[in-house]
Amino acid sequence: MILDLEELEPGQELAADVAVVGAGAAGIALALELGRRGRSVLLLESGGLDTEGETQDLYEGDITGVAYDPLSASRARFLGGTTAMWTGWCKPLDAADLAPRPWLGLEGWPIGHDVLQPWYERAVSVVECGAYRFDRWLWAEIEAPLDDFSSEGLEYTFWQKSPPTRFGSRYREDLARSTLVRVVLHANLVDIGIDPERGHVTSLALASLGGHRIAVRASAYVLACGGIENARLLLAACSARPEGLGNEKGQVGRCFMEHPHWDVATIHAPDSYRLLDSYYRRKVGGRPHRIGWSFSAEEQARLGVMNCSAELDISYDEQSNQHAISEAWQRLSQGRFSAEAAAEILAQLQNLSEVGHSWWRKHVRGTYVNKPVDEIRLMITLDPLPNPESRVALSRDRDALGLRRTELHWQLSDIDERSIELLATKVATGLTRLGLARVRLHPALGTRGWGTSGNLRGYGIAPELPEMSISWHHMGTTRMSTRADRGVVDADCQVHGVANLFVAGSSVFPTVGNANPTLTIVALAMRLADHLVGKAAVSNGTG
Amino acid sequence: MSARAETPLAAADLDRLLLDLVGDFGGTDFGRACLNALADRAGPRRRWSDLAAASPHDLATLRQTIKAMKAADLAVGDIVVVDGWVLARTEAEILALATLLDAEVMA
Repeated sequence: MILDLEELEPGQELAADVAVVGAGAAGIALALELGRRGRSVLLLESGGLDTEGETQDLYEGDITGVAYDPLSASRARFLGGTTAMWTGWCKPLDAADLAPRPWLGLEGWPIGHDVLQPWYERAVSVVECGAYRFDRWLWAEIEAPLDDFSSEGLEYTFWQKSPPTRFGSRYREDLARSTLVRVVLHANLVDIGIDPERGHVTSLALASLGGHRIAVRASAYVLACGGIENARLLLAACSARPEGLGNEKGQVGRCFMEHPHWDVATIHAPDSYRLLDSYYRRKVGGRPHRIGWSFSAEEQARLGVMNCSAELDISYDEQSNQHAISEAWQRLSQGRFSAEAAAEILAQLQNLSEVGHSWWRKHVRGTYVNKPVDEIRLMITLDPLPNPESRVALSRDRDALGLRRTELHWQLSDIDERSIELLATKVATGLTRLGLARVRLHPALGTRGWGTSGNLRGYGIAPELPEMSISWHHMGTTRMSTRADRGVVDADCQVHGVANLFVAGSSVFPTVGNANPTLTIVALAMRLADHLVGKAAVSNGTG
Repeated sequence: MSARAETPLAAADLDRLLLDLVGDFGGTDFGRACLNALADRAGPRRRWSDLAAASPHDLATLRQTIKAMKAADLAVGDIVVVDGWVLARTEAEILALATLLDAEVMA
């Protein structure tokens, strides 16, 4: 059932077994799973069914650290959340990402990869990225040869692609049909009521931008608002705890992490198709996949580095005949017919051998790159070192609902920079050793601060440095830890010291690896649903 | 290159082969950059001795010798980064050697 707070009678109180704040990937996966297992759920969404400027503005905030895109631009605040702008790439975390890394002072996740694995295997159907397969057999299936990079300490890593699934549209009907899940749109959390003696949440106060207010009561409450907003709400939305809820040890908001990436080298291959057919994207079973390199767990330990990933990145030769014909064909197939496009195709069809080669590569060989490439680059995605000084805090400004806005102070570290440099150098060494390519690293690599200064693409900060792109992956601000002085939630995603308050989403990741977070977000949400169903406090059908 | 007389290959012959192979780099910025990038300035001269000891008698065998040395470097990650280019140490030392030989010729 989908309701709208603007249309509800003001002042009423709604109740359910579980109240979930935020209807993005985590919130929707959690709510539907709870509903399937017989629990009543209130799924409280700030936005409507599509983007709305005034609601989106609630995301605005200050940026005081490394340059970052505006906070209202990197997230979507309506049903489905940021899956509305998701590229769809899926990858589980590596076992080494969850394990302790004493050489970097990292205690690891309080759960092992074996605990997550069954939830990953269920999550792939929710994100619709195909069967759970993230190993080199994918490439064996398409007969793409892979060389041995083990002498560089490198392993292959693979991504699968979701269509991408837009959770808001994909699961809207399921939510509307559900008798146990009630979605309330335009419902913004403005206060978390607590019982100070028992240390648990008693109610939520929700308000719409139109001035309607309701209260929500549940046995368990879950914040599922994303890696920045979860921390902000814990800090700003509990009037009874001015220092923030779950923040007795000052951990809320700390260790904000991102997946920035840089093109750190140009690749000069004697046979670019040979290189790209094995080491760039391929379709397997009709679905796009990505391949990259990362250090083995042993090599990470030996070098004392993080688990970054390296991939090839390309630009097509826009002057080529094949490029011209594919652009024109695309315009026509999108219904943008023009005499110019038709003439372009006819003119280029005279170059039958080139066009035929492209056609053969695409339809017979099934390769991803089917036209001449202008440049091949090496792109490194950072697995950032958790840094307590990289954090989400509160700004002095307040939003339209009276809550203090976000201040994002993102920082990168010397270890981050070193991890990128070593991975780039090792991949370059391997490509050279195998005769696949010669590699030119960006001349700035090796100079201190080339990465930590954050030369964000499009901002013209430091033209002499490699440009940094960001992934809008907001992670790590309510980290999972067995200890309240090192994290915000425990292994079951329960906020330390608050018995019935939980957090879902990438904010609970203690470390983030190089994997796009959505698959892990959904896996953890389904695991949390299982935990909540098992908790005696969450009774069956009391809502 | 005073040590070269101990090798069975005439020093001048090895110099000529090297210049045939990489002489184009001799007076170039890249050749000088290779020389500057090597922390061990004696490396190119040692490399010359190693090559001489292998007694390449023509360009083809010299190429084979260098290829084997380069493969051995890369297998253990012994690289030198010159102006961003990732080179096997052998490559960097031979291009630096070309610069030294070129300087000798010019002198």
